[in-house]
Amino acid sequence: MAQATPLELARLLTAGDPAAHEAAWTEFVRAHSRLLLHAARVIGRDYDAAMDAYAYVLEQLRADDHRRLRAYAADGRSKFTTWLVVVARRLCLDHHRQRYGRARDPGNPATEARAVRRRLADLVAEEIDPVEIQAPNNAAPDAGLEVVELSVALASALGELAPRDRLLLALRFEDDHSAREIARLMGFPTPFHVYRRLRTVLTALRLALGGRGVDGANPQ
Amino acid sequence: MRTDQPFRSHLEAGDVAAYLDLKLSADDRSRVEVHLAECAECRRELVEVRRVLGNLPRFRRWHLLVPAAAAAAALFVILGPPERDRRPAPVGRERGPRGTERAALIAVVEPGVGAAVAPGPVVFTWRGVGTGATYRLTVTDERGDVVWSANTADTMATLPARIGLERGRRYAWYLDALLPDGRSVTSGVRAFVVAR
Repeated sequence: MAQATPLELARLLTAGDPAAHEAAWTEFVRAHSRLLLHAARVIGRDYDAAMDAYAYVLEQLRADDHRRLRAYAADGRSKFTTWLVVVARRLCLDHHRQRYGRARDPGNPATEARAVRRRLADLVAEEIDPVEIQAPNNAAPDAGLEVVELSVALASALGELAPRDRLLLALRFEDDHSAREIARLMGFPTPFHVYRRLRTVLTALRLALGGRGVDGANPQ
Repeated sequence: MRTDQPFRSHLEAGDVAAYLDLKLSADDRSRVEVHLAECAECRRELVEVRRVLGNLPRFRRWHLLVPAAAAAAALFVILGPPERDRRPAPVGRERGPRGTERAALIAVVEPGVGAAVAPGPVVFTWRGVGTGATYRLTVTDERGDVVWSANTADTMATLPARIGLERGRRYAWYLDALLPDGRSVTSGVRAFVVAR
């Protein structure tokens, strides 16, 4: 069911003469400036960067007869404020990249290897000492191959999980989010429900890995 | 799917927002979760959007005033609270719903609303909102075009002599403060006129 279009948005998109349009734009900005500023501050760490991003967002929301805002009216599945924050954040990122380039590291093998070892330590045996899990570049010649085999077994077992459970594991073990935050993101009633689901999923994974000959962080 | 990298697509804004609002059908939710499980960037977006929404203070709409920061967003707005709320609020506080108070307004000293200032450098003063706060003062003309702006850690600023304000014309000024903890407060827009 489509969400109701906010009044200030409806007025803006249907305003006829220029004076009415300006008045509607003023009302729209007044209603949502704080939200847009908050979104700008997430990307722009200092005051000037945030204000520059904010101005850019307003400029882009106004551009092409409010083309971006009209996209919400066409979609309308979510609350307007939620949708607006998503769009504003993306615009702020675009602005930031135009000025400073792409800052985020797309990832590197060492980070991925650490994530794999952490996942295995958590998934297979809670009491495993992470020190026992050898890093590939420090270990015996076969260690690199064993890590690869473990990665393959893990990837295979993960592939059998439901998408929601895979997302749960990614948020918990790759992104290190708290149960409280995961509950808010995924719509679990409480953090307790997150822990309970994690336990269920990890049990299923242990069984799946056991079926692939993986009983510990160091394969047999 | 939005695409900003070769061979890599991301979720549409509508999908992200609807997922956060729990408004997706079961099939769409599953589709989105398949993507999220594999895409760290989209997960990061999910988290940051949720945090923005979760940290947004709740205010009545008529308390929202706009700090326009560039020509593309030039605005000239004067708002006044309803008569029953014209009692002065404590410094740095404003009245929220049901008499609650929130730190959201900077108390300006001069020039006050509608003040007539003498021709020459105008001195702007206000009350501080806390240790470590930095302020951005903006002066606009009647159309909302920025005439002058400055950053300061002080609670006073003087319009430079090179910025000549026209006698008899109306101008507006407002402050935005950034607190060390990342919160922001604003003064609202105040109009003044330069005496002839």
